[in-house]
Amino acid sequence: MHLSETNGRNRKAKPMETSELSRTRRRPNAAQPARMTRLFLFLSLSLNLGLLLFLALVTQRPEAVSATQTRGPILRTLEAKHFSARPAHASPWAQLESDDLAVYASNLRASGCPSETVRDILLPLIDEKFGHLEASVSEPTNFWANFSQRRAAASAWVEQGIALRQQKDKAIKEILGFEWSSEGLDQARASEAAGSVGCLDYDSAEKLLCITDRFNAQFLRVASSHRIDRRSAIYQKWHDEISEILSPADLEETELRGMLMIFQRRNPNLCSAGLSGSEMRQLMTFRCELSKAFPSALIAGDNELLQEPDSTGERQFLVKARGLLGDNRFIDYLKSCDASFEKTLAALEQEHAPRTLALQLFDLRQEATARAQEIRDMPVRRAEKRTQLVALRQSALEQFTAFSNAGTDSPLLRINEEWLHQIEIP
Amino acid sequence: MSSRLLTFSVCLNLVLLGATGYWAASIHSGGNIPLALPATNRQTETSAVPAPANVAIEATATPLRWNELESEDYAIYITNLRKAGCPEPVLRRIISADLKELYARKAFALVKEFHRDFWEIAARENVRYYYDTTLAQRVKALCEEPDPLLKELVGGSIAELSRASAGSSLVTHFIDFLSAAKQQQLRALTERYEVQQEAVRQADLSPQEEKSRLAQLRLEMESEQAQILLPEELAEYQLRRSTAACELRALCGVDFSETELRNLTKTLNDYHHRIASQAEPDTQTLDEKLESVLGPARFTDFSRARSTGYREIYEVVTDFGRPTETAAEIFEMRLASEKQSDQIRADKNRPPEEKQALLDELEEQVEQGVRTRLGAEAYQSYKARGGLWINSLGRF
Repeated sequence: MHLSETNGRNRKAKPMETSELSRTRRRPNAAQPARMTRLFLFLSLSLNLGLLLFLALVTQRPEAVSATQTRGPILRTLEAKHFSARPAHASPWAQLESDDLAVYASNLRASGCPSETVRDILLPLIDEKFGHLEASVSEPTNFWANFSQRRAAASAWVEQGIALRQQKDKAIKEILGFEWSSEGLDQARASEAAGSVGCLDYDSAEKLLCITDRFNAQFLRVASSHRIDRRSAIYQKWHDEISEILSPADLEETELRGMLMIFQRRNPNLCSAGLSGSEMRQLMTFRCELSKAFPSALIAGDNELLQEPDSTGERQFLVKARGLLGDNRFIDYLKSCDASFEKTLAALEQEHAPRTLALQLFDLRQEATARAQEIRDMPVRRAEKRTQLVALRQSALEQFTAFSNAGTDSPLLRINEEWLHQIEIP
Repeated sequence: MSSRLLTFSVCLNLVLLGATGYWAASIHSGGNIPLALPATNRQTETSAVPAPANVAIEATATPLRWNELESEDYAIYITNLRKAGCPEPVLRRIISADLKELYARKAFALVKEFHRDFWEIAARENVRYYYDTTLAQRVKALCEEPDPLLKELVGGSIAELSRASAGSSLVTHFIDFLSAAKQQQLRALTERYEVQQEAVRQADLSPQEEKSRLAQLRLEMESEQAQILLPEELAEYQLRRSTAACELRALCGVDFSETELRNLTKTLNDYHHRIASQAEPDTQTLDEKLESVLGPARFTDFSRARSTGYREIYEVVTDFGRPTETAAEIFEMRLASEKQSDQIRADKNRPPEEKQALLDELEEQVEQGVRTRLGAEAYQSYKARGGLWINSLGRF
């Protein structure tokens, strides 16, 4: 509306200027000095006008795009209120500062400060504020307190610590929009976890580390717990939060890598199995179906699973691995991670027996072990179990010797004595 | 009239041309000063005298714009922040975080190839070992690169900045019996010596030399502590910080009074000092001494409290919310049944079959007893981690 009015006024002005000029042209014999004076005056006034316009333009601040322009009315009102309350004599920075960190954050954003810098400025201040509170609930100090008193005090202290941390995280989220953690950011900046989470983009890795740091106290608390339900509950919360910042593909990849770190540590010869990269990844998918790696596997190189798979789970995993690799390559896999199988295979090779025989003996072992577990779980007297287990062992031994033609003192039997013996223990 | 107007207009021309010239000159002379920063900020850079009030008001009336502070050149960015009145600690935080992140992103770029080939590498070698031996050092070096730069820019390395807030590692419960002033002195002293100890550990010394220097520092620190504390305060402080006190705090599931704990600490400390000069530790004598200090009943409690087996049961019992007495009952059951199974095995008057039957019966009884006390879920959990002794009862 305003612009069109200005344009209208300009359009009306043009004919007037033309009539002035034409009027001058109609009187060619007027006094020359007067004409010159008017011309100089006209030029001088035009120059003044031009210079004034120029100076006005260059001294006027360009309107920077501020965060207020993109945010809701409540926050804009808050910011406007704070700006208007600033003392006029303060330095530009002092005008941004406020004891109320939410206001400080709003002011910084309104000035166009990037969100990362707002975070870097305010997070230590939030830490500091809550640090005072943490110090006020410092560790129980009665050195000579008895065990019950110390345990109760320590438990209350941990509870208070967790509650305080939750309050702090809430405040951080309110002020900064995401529950950043100084420790998590430090970890990201030191690239300590670049070897494990470097598959993610830096921003996602940073968030993953911050979320994990927030859960650390809770993970530590349940790490030694016998209660699987508690461990699972904490893991699930962590997982839910991670799901919000990572794509399903990134999340899966992160979990698989965590599992691999643990699996390789537990099976140091795995890399000699001759697997391809995709086969290794698929095997880790099978492992992840059995259990999950605690996040500490990725961050701190720990070795802990949410829950150790039972023997049934391990057997299921091996069936899947065999299906993936085929018999021949499954033999190589077993050779890399099962010492007894490796020795059996070596003994058979020495006797020029076929490799597949090792697999037959392995199947026999798996079946006998599974059956032994069923017997142990039966609700019968121990003497009865013992009888059944002894019979099972005898049967397994007979089948073993029948398959392998091994005598009672053969090296092959000595190698496999351990599991045969284990079978008969109730 | 026209000529007077012309004179005035020409004068105005000159004034306006002068103003334009001044503006152009100021742009050229202040190359690193952002275009629209208020003039007073430039004044504060060149003059220690505060600007007149009216100038300051005029300068600060306009809100700060971040895009005018930022620069791709850190030196300019810092100058601009300082000019805007950014406090030094905040400035350090901004620059330190910015620099560290910049290099961390470079580190992430450095490991990109490794992550692209991650599964192929994992198929042929241990990925963690591969990373540690091929990339970890380079990543670490890259992340340490900002340290000297930060020192140059804001006068302190990242490590120094983080150390500044570290404080001493002195735990409050060692010193809470002292006055606040003495606590403060002791903390300061500890912090000072911790820095020196760390320097010794970081120095490239032989193990013997390092040990000797650390011992020397410890002696010096103790001597200074003696100057701060009264003799009885020093004795209490040393008692609390002793290895024996630390051992006793690890006892599980039994409550000892303060007197008992103090007596136990002193007895254990005496023992530790004595065995330092002996080749073979004499645990039998120690136990006799402890029993004489506590009395037979409390010594039994003490033995239970220091047993790993008891701790395992105690943890399960408390984890599953059972009464803590249950842990003591199960532990007693364990001691008694293990003794009984040893007797059965050692009995020369019974045939093996009979011994096995007796052992089976014993194991079943104990298993039932433990299961009843713990409940099915807790029992399964205990058996998987600490309860293997139950199965050992029936083994002949």
